[in-house]
Amino acid sequence: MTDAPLISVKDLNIRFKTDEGLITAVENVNFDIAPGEVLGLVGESGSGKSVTAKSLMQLNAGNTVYDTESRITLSTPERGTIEVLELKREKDMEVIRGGAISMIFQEPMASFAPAISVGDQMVEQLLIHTDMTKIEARELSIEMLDKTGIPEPAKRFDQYAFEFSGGMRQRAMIAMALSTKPRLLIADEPTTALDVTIQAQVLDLMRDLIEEFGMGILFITHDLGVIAQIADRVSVMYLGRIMETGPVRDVIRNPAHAYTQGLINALPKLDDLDAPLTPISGDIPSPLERPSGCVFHPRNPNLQPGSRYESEVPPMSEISPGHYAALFPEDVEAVRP
Amino acid sequence: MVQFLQFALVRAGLALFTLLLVSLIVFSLMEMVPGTCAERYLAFKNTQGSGISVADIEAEEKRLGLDRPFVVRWGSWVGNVFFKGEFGDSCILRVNINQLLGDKFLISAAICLTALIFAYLIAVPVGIISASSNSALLNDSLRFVSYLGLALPNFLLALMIMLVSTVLFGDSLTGLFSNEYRDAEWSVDKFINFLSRAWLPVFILGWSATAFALQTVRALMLDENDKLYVTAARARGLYGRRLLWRYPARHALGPIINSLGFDLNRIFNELPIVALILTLTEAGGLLLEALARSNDQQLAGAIIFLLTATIVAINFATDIALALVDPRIRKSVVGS
Amino acid sequence: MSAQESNTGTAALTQEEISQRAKEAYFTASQGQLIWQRFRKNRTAMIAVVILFFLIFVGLIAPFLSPYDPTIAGRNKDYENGAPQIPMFCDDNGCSARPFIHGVKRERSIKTNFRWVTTVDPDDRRYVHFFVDGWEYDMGPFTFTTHLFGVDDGKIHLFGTDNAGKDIFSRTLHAIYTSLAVGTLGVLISFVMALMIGGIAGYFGGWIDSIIQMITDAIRTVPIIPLFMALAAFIPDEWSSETRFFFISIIIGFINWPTLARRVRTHLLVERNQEYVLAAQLCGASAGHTIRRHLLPSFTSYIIVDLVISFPYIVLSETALSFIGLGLKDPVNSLGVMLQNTTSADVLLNYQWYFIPVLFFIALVMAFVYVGDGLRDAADPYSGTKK
Repeated sequence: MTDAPLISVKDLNIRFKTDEGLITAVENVNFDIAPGEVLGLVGESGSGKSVTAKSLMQLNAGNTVYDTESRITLSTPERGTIEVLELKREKDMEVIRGGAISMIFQEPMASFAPAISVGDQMVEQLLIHTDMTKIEARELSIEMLDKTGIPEPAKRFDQYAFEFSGGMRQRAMIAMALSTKPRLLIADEPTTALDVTIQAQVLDLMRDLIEEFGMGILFITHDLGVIAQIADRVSVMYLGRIMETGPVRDVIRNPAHAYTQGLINALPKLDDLDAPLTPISGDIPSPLERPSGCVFHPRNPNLQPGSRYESEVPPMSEISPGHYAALFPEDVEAVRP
Repeated sequence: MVQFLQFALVRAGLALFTLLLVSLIVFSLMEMVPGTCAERYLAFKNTQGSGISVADIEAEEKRLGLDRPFVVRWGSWVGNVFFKGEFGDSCILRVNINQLLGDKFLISAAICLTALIFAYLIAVPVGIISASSNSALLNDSLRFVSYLGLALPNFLLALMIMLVSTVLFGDSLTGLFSNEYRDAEWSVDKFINFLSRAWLPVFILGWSATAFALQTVRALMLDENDKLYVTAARARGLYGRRLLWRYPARHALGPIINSLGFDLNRIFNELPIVALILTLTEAGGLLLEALARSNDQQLAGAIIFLLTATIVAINFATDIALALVDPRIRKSVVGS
Repeated sequence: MSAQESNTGTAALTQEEISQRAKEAYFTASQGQLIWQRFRKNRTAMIAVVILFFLIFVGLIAPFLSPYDPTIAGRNKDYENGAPQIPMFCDDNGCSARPFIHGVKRERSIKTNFRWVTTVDPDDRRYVHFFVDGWEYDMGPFTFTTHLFGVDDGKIHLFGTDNAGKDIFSRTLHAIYTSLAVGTLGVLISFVMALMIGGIAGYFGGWIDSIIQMITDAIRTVPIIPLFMALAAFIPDEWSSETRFFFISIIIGFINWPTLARRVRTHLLVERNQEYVLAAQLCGASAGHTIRRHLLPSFTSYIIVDLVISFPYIVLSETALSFIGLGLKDPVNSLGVMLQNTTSADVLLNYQWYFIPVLFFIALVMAFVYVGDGLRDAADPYSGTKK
């Protein structure tokens, strides 16, 4: 992890223009992903994790506003560093869309075009990003389908997504995403829509492929259990802000931020089935009324009234090497392991 | 291939069944109308000066077979229509309906179909472009124009065009042929004359059809544009026209094809009115004549049945086309 | 959570309470309230609503606004095919605070080729008065004779007169009322039919649904206007205009139901699998009770939107039927009736004011279409509002 980061996100601020005014979706998000590293991004729905992921490929809707100081820097071996947010023409975006970065989506069914065969969609992508002929592209696609564990890949190649089972669709999606040998793979809740057993198969498959291809992965999920299995590092998001980030074991064993603690306490514990589940109190506020200071303060049960968190935004303080949380320095000692 | 034929056969069977059902509906409605064909004919005769009695009416009913039970009469009507293509005699004019209709029905069907094609030739590209454009001005004005197409009924449009044409050219553009060609045999000159006049009914019928089609295409495109597979395709590096035509437009095609039958239905609904204003003498006009002037249920039934049969035929054709375009349908057909 | 409240002063606390209430109102708002909130933001639709309510209002008080009886009884036989008369304040003889029109003279002589010719007499002023006594009309159980305006001598025809001397302004207002009445009745009829047929198909599903769908589809293939033209053609001539009116409304209601029935069916097919329906059934609720008390309320808003959207088509159908002489007839005034004799070249060239009602008609239909559109967008925030 001493290499230069594959992708580096600095001060990412994303707002949406709506009838109700500008709505903040992502605020001051920073992270790096090194080659071969898996960064997990965890949060409830509406926490801005998908918006963050889509911004890496500039896939957000037309009413998206990026702050001028927001930087997303991608380094590629062929083209050097690319400032993603400075790409304006869609022709130039090819490199971040399916070239150096690929994405797999939550619903494998809906992410394949229903009336175009799976193979055609795979070949189409290869023709855009490589100099292959159609025949070479076809061979590579079938090889990729085979690699992701799809039986009879040559036959499946000519079939349509509706003829695949749920798990197989996600495998095909992964095969398609990896066929162009991207440097970074964005996986947006790739296992959420799948059965638990299939989920495990897909996770195994992904782990194998990481070893083989050595790309970086941004893995988005709301499921801490999945993160524990696959990620090296994890960032916890709430209302568009990163609350805590660090090596996955450190964060799960010693959660420093009240929100992370809440998330972990809300998980059922298999070793103590009688332990009561403790949900985080309160509701996610409407995006129209962002809390001041630390966005989590209205739901934090540990805070005394009038604390600094109500008015000031806490900095990311180091808890242990590589492990940071949005806390004021005076609170750091209390949470050190 | 065999399975595809099977599918086509099943669909054809369904279409035939629909036609049977429709013939039953039309026939029953024509029966429900007060007065029988015999009464009507004799009443018509009466106005010509010959006196009639109840016995005359009964004799005439017997001659026409109207004393048989309803189902038997329906059966023989349907049988004649399906196997011989015969609609029997008109109630009042006492002429064979097939002769009466002649090529008039074909001409009207051709005009309506042309209007339909005209509507979609405009609506498909315009609808697709407007759905993927962000220009509020373009979208609002298209919306206004297509609503105007709905709110300005085509008989008003026809009136306006006639007004302008009467003032400017001294010719109200009515009728499908100029006087000298009206009863002439088909010839190149007659055909040219036909074309020089047929554009007006085509334009008027196509006007509101275009408005409707535009709405349909736009709504379908907006639907498709929002789907995840479009985002996924963009995430693979597709953009611009290549993305537009291969993804959302390609997938909106199925529902668009599906709506053709109902659009033709709508055009047929407007045909009689346009026919009246432009004093066209083809089927729409004939229908009006049959209804308004002579209460000829036999002729009216035949025309309505023919119109419906055309729509059923179009629906059958679109079903087949849909199966060719959409693998989901094709495969489900082949699979079964 | 309570940190904020205890920290703020009492004044701020009430403010907090207000915003809390607003939030609660938002979360507990009914479907209808939410639709209204979104609808209000749509400027075009709001303008359309204003126009629509204005036209409905005008239609409802048409007899009061009309200076003359719109039927043959109110004809002005001295002013047939007369041009519109616009009230003015000034003429060559000076100005007046009370608006007036000029009187007209009709003559026929060798000079005019023995045709009746109407000339305006610029020296004959006829002043407009408000709340004047005129023809008798009923509004509900009461009978009135007061009208909004009239002139002190002779008659005023804002939109001119037709070939029988009937006042086109009065006829237009009554035509709006008729169109609305036919539309309302037609919508109600198709609504009831759609609810029953679509409701049965959607609630029971299975083979009942398949059979109903098959029949509905067959009916949908028949071009309905020619079919109902056929039916309307056989209405006996001796029927009174009221009977005719109801019959035509029923016919038009029948034209409309299959589309609505389909919508109801689709809604029900989705909703009937929801848990709350199962709960009602487990409690022993009958099918009718479940449909009426549990399923219908779940999408009434959508059905209302559908009804508004289908309204203009019903008005159009009536106009078309009447226009070809198979719908309403004199003395009922509807746009179709009024346009019946406009196809002649004489009218096209000389009496263009026959077309004034068309403008009102277009306004009415457009207003309905835009309101329906706005309502649909508001009812379904995910349709069409993007882009």
